[in-house]
Amino acid sequence: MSAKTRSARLTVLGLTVPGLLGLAVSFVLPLAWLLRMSFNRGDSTGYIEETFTLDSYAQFVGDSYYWDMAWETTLLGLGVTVLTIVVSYPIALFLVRTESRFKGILVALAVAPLLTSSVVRTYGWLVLLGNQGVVNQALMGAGLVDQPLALINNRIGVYIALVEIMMPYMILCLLAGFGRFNQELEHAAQSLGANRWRTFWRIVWPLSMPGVLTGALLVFVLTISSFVTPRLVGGGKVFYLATEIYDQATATLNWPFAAAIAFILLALFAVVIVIYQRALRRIEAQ
Amino acid sequence: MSFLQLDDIVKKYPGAERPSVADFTLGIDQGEFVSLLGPSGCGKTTTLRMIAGLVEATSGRIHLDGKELTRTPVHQRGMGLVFQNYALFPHLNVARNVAFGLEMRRTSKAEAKRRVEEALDLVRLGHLSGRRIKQLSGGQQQRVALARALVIEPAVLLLDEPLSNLDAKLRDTMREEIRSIQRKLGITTVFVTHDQDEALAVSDRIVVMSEGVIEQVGTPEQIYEHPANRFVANFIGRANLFDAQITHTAGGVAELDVAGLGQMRAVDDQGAKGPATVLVRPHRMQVSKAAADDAHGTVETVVYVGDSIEYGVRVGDNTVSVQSVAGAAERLERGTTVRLSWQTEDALVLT
Repeated sequence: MSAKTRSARLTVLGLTVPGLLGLAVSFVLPLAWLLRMSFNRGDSTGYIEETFTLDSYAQFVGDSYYWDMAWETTLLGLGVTVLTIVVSYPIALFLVRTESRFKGILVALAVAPLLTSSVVRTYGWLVLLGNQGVVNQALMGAGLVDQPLALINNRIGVYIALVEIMMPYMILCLLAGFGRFNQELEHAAQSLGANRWRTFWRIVWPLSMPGVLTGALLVFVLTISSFVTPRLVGGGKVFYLATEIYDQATATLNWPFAAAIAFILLALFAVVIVIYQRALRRIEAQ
Repeated sequence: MSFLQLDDIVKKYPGAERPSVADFTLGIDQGEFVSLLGPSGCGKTTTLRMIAGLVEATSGRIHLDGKELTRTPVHQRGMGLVFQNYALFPHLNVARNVAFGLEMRRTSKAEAKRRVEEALDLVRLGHLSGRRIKQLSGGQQQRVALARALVIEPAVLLLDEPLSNLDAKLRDTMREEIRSIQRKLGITTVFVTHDQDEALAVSDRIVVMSEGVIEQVGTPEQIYEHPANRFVANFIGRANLFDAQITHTAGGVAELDVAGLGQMRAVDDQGAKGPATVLVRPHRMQVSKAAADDAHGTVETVVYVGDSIEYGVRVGDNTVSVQSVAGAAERLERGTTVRLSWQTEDALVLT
């Protein structure tokens, strides 16, 4: 090996080691510890028996209550992802197309909610969606409903709040993913006989797929791992894997079981990332 | 009414001080190749886009083959467009780009396949039909764009500066190719360019535009030999423009008192009087050595460009360009005092 390549290797090593060390200490080690914990035996007294058993996983798999919860969590992830795409896409498309000199400001406004913690925004939704909230007051004032609609302490509220919280992430991903798009492509399609609808589905939508996929992955992962919003807006009445982990860890004090659920959630992430990679490769092969 | 007829077309963007295109009236015959030529911002692209339907005219009418299409949406106009940046669909391969317009027309698969092959053969890209767009060179992308526009058998082919992104050599070959395909298909074509050489080389007629108005419409020869005004004379080819005073006009020839040169003669179609401008192309100027007290000016620059020598001659405050064939005459050195002259038929009085 020549001196030059050796020094190049040393440089690469030197530059990556600090980051790798950081990751190892703050992420890999705790995760390994958590994995070990999930094989211990715990009970509701908080007593943890050091052993090696699959009891916690068996408890999860053997109880249809947890299967339902995993299903609801997946459904929440998919539902919030799809709804977020639907409401964010027109905004992103507008921001890409606009020739307004306020474009920069508009983009900043679209992602400005990120400046506020999602906890604060969740409380905002509690105020808006509550029985005395703006939404119900307006609906009743307009005579559309007699009774306030139940918009919090249930799944509807969780969906509404999460979609809004996820929108800036989705818009950012969509904007970045529109790289290959320019309006002349729409003009070309129209000149070749495509109306607006077909121009959108044949040209705009396929070209935005990288952004849509990245946004979908990010939003799905953030949604199924989100805890504060389902907890607060759900009012402790709806259960997802993330809230269950918290309950098991802090209320029931069954750490091994909480750790097992955490790893099941991690498996769900892994599945989604594999699907994402496959889809992305298919798009890029085009 | 011509095949493609534009009447009093105006485009004024809201908030703009003056219209981008004003009172544009032009008839284009079937099979004709017409160039819209002018500096950037002259409204040529806006005009093309109004024909295509991508820009809505503020007022005026557009007729194609006797049918009004001023308000017809883009996708129903059936015009073939080639864009400056080609606007090829990056997610579709070459054949599917070309097939796009046929798919929109719901052409049967077999026929579409045949026509796509024909179109690609026409632009000599038959062997690349399966390629992805980003694997193509600029010239190849240009051909795909042309094939994609032609395959739908458009009534009119609209080309928006299609050659400006190609390097000089390729540009010349492509423009010949575009012209020969256009002749072969006999397709009515509107070609937008800011390059006068390009316009002169390919057009049946040229429309010279500036600041949204038509300055002159004519064949390349008419535009070059008989420019309508100073703008056209300056924009098309190189030009020496002299300020002069007409002293006498008879039989289409004006006697002039030209600043710095004295008594000269020039062709005058219009029988103008008083102050005028005289146009003489550099290669029509003659220059000869003269004694200092008899000279018009001094040679200031000498540029040898192979087949010719270009002199810059200082006359008063102006520099006159003279292009003489290398070897045909004695070569003049810088600082030589010279007389300038021209044949009467090589000079034109502009109004």
